[in-house]
Amino acid sequence: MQLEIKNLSKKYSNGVQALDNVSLTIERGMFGLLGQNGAGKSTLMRTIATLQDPDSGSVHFNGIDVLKQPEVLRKTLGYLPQEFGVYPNVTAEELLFHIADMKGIVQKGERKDTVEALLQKVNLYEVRNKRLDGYSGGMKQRFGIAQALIGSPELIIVDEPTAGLDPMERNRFYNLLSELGENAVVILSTHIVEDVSTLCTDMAIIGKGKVVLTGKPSEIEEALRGKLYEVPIDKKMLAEYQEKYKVISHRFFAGRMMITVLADDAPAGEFDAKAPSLEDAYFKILSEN
Amino acid sequence: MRIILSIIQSELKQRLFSWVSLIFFLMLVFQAIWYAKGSFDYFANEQVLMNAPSIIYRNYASMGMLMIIIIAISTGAVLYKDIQYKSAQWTYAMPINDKHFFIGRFSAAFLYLVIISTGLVIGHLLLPYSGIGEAVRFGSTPFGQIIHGWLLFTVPNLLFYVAIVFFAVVFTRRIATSYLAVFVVVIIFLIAQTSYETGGGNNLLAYLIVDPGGYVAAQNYTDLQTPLEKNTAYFELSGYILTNRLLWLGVAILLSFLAYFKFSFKYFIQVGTNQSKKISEENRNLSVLPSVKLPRVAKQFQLTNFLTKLWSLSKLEFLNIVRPTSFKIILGIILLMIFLQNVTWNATYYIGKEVPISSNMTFFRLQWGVFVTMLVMIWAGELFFKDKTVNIWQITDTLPVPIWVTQLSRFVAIIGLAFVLSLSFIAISIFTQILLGGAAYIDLGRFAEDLLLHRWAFLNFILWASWVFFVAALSGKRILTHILGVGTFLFLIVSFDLGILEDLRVGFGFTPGIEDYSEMSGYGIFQQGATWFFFLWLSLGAVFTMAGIWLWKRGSEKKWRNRISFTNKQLHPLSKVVLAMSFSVFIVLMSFVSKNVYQNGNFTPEAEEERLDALYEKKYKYIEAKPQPKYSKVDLKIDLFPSIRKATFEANLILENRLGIDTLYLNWKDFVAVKSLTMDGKALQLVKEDNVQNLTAYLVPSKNRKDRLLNLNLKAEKQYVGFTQNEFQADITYQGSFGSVQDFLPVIGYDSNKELLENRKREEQGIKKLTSRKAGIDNAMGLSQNTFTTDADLVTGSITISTKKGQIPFAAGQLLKMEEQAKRTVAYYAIKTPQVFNWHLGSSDYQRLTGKANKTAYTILHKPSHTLNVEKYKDDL
Repeated sequence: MQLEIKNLSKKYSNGVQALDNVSLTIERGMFGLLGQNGAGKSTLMRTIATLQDPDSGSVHFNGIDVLKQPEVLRKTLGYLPQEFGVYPNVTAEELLFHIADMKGIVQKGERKDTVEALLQKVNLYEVRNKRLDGYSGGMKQRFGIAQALIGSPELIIVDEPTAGLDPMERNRFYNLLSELGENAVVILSTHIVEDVSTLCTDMAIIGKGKVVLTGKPSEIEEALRGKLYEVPIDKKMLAEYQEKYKVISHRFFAGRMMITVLADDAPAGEFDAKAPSLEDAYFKILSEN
Repeated sequence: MRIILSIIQSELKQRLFSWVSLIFFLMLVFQAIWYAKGSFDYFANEQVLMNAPSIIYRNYASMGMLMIIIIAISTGAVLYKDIQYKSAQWTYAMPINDKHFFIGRFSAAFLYLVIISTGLVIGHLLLPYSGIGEAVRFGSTPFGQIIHGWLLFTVPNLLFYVAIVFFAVVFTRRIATSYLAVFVVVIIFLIAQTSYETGGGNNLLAYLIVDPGGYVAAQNYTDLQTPLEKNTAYFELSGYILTNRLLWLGVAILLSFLAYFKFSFKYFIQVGTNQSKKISEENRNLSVLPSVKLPRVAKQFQLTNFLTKLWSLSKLEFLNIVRPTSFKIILGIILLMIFLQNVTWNATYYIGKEVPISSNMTFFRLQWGVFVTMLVMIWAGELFFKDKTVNIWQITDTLPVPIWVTQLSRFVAIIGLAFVLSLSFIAISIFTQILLGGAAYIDLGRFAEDLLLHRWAFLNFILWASWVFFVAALSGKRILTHILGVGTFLFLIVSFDLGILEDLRVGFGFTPGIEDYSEMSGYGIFQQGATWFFFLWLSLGAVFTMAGIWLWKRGSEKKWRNRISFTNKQLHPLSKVVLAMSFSVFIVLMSFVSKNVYQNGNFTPEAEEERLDALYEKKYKYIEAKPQPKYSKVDLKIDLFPSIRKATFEANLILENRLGIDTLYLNWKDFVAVKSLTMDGKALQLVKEDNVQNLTAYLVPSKNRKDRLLNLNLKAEKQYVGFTQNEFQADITYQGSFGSVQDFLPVIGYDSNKELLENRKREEQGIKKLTSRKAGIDNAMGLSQNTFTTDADLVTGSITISTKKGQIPFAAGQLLKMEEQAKRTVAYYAIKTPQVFNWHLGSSDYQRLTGKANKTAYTILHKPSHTLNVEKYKDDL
């Protein structure tokens, strides 16, 4: 089970190069695609999900030429877009029932069982008969994941699934998503590093339409071991530190600014060595691009 | 005040300097010119100028369909956009007074339209340079009246429209109601206008006042103007004009105030938040989700599965349209309007009160068909883009269902909608007929034919929905689809109405004779052409539908070359073959229809007819001064073959030759073919033949030239072939043939009936203007020709007429005998006392009713099922 993306490029009519020669090989399991807003993640997701044509390149999944045989891929695809709406006058159960039918589950009984199981899985069973326009953002996202899982898809694409969710909802989502990678290729596109570090076994970082890094999160973190140092500073001194050191990120902690510096050797002064995280690696990449 | 001005400035800056505004402006420039041409044609008097103030005033008052579309598109959104784009949450939290905000947005919407409407002013100023008429048709530019008319009609009308749109949006908190409000105003205007034009009955005052734009009042005002006033005068702000303006300005102010007082941020924002609908999850302890195993399922993607889905989806989409209350309200309003129209208007459409028969109950479709078609088109557009509108397309477009299932199901749902509408129309019409006392005359077949077929009814709705389907696929944009879809439709309607277009072959969905129904003849000769036209449009509709599936933009950013590529699998290869076949059928049918309309049917556009008539006058006016004989005795034997629209006839003619002639000029009617023409048994020598003008000239043998009476024998036949688009050809039709002998026999000498009578047209064709169309009171000859034809005084003779079995023939004169001969019915008539030569004849499946009144025998022929007026005629006799 493998998704192979080769030399994918896409330039929009307004001149934005959304994808620039993107190549990726993604195996079974949870794959994180990390990138800033506007990095090209959603364009890549939509292209894989057969919603968009690239200018060049190819996408293959288990022998299916996605660009030439979109109708074949759709039979085994589950897609949760970044933003989606719902028909306002229908209930979650009705719409899932409808989508199950569209996904080829023609036996009414099977459809009913699938929808019920999914509603329970995403904890919407109690509100299954409520109209979707009354759902909260989190409920809607859970509904979204339920529809993506219908029909046991082999390729699941979830685009920014935790954006806008409160911590509790996000946690709930992690639980849900963690089960998905067992029997499918799952691509989790996000700009939230925690999503990837929590869930994914493999990942890529994309920036300005290009793949700038691929690997396993642990390996990417490990590559920075012994090279990161942090120090609390007065925020007015930031520019000075940036000039003097390779500052890859800065954040506030207990009201003070903490900067993280990349260096082969410990810088002089009050710097403490820092255990690398995926976030540091991500910031490093961003600072270099 | 500063805040209000700032809002106005910001809104105008955002909206005015855009391509859309420029397009709107240019559309209005075009409309001003286009409507001026239409209004000009409305005035018969040749002295009226194309840029006459009366035309300009009427144009402003009508607002015009493009202006109405612009109002509908652009006005409601000015207030509603914060809800639509969810910016209200922060916009309404700004330190702005609600009422100031309302005034600012209201003023901005109004000023925007006022500024855009200057396109009409520019269009009127450009009239002389637009090329719509010769230089002689234009007077000096009436600058004052152009501005006056704009201020008198356009500006207050815009205020009214903005007021009603804001009123609708504020009170319902839905943008859709603003469209509905504009729609209802247009309907009121059209009913008032058509009612006024068809006589108005006792309600004239109501029609003048009830039209919010003041067009009917303006029309009435200009109808009473002399040509000089039409060309120069300012409208006086008095009478109906003043009443109308004051009334609707008052309504506009009232609506504005009501909306102003109702509007508040807190009230208006509720629609965007929908707090009342929010569902709370009682069980919030969900951080650990239950481990539920999903059942194993079998997925099937066979054709039969898709067909089942198509059906179930169609049902679902159909129910989604008809279940909401909004649909029921709209349907209720339409049915109420149809009911009112049938009760108040159709009943007096012709010359007075009529019996409520079924054919009268279906006439409403001619006005309402237009609006219902537009409504269906808008519904269709909304449905086709439903997934995009609610933003679920990214999910639905990745589902393993072919486009033909999802989109076609929506098309099927629209067919269902159109059917439900049509059935509702039938139901309300039958109800009205019963209510008006016409229960005994209910003709279900009439309802079915008129309201379920293609005469502005069910099938037309479907055809136009197919066009929307195609445009939606092509454009991929909802609003653009509405504009292009409905715009095309309106363009065709208005163009045919104004006479700019005449040939129905360019009118998608149009068929000939949609309103030419008679109780005796049904749709008669139009039926055949209409059926072929319908199949022509049906084949094109099929092409639109299949091309719509092929080109439908699934997803976003789809490349054109991929969409139109043969490898695009959205349309199955077999369906592509069917598409190609449908298109071929369309081409073949178009060729067939063209042959039957142009080549066989002699269709000639009005302009060409005028040119030919003028040419006839120019070429043959000299004949008028030449001595020509007149009909004196006519013995006509004519055999009618109604089912093939043919007549063969032989006439023995005695012509009175007072002045002695050497050449006999004969003008033939279209479709007449002369087999032989002899004088005293000898064929006449043809010396001139003009096939374009149907004129022939024969040399009279020298021995006959001085004869007082000329004996002619004519053998000829007349057969109508091809399709007619507008000529009734009533002299030989399937049922109810009714014509004059002059439809068969030639006009002798110069045929003055061919002359153009309108001086404007004569001038255009370069022929001398007529000083009067009536003979002077001292012109005995001229006056007599109002009754007599130019080629006959009083004539005697006989008519033997036969027709197919089952029909009864009739002719002028005294019926001597009627008998069956060789499966034909033959009647013998004699005209023994000299009569004016306006003899008529005909044939139909009449029922005969004979009687005597004051010792005079009479026969009343009537349709067997139509005995409505028989007793009345008997009483009168």
